[in-house]
Amino acid sequence: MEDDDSTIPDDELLLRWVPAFSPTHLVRDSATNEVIGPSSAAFAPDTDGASVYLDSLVQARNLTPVDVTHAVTDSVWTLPVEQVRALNLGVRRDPWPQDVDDPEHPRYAAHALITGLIGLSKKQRIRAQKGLANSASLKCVLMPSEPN
Amino acid sequence: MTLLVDRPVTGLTTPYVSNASLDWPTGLSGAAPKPKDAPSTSRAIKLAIMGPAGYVSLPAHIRDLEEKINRLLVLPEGWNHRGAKPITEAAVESTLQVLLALMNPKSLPVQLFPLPDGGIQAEWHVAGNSIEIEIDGNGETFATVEDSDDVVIVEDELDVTSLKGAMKDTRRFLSRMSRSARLHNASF
Repeated sequence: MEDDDSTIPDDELLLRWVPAFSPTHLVRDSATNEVIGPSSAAFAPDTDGASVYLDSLVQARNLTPVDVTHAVTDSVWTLPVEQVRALNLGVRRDPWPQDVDDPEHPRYAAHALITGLIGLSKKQRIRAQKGLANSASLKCVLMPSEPN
Repeated sequence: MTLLVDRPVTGLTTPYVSNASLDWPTGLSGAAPKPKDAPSTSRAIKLAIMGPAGYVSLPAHIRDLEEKINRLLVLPEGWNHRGAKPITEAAVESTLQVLLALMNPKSLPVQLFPLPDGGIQAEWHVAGNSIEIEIDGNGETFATVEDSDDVVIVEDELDVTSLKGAMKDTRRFLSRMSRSARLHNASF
């Protein structure tokens, strides 16, 4: 996989923040209203890839999952790098991005990108996004309570 | 603009951009902050149905769709805290065309999600069955329909000018999912 940083081990966990309310990227069962997990829309790439954080670097800065959120209404999910690579996607480091609201925040030392989504055909890209969103390895580590 | 519908819903108005001012949501810390370059006018659609004797009240599923689209239209540029675009008019028009052609008053409520390119993703999920329709910022649509055994029913672009092929199969599957949900939950 081109644009995959082989120095990032397979067992590294990626942290991905997913808005839970206003707007939401969490899918619910239409009949029971129970949250199923992130929509594949949550993994739609920006112009350079899908934004994530490397858990080992987050921890090295004494940060926690809540530090990668942008709002109290965000949830946080983890996914092992191995699962990303199994979908023929890659991960590369992208520390200190400048196209963000708060580029000085220490979390950006751990910023990375899921790569390989851009350039795929639409069918392949949507399959890959669904593969990320539906992965059994995707775990929720922070879920906000519903706002009043 | 004429919106394509295949049942007696007529005279849907063109989505419009109003000049009313917008109060940005500030009730939650850090939620949907107003960016420096936030638009100075609110954006909203207003749907209406013209019957033989004038405007008639909107069916609940169309009112629900209007409300959900309007919630997305207030998202400012950079709503994902990176470079996400505001929802585009092309995406709204295609979303309306596709969903009004797929849904009927007995359909399950749709879930709508914003996309970074200004598009909208529409989804339904019931007990492992799913319909996902990506409407990108240019208004192009792509549907993925899977049953609970992960069998792919539809994986194709949607042609809203034809109620055959992927459109027909997607609509049929939505009807099936909606019937199934009603069997298990009388509130639908």
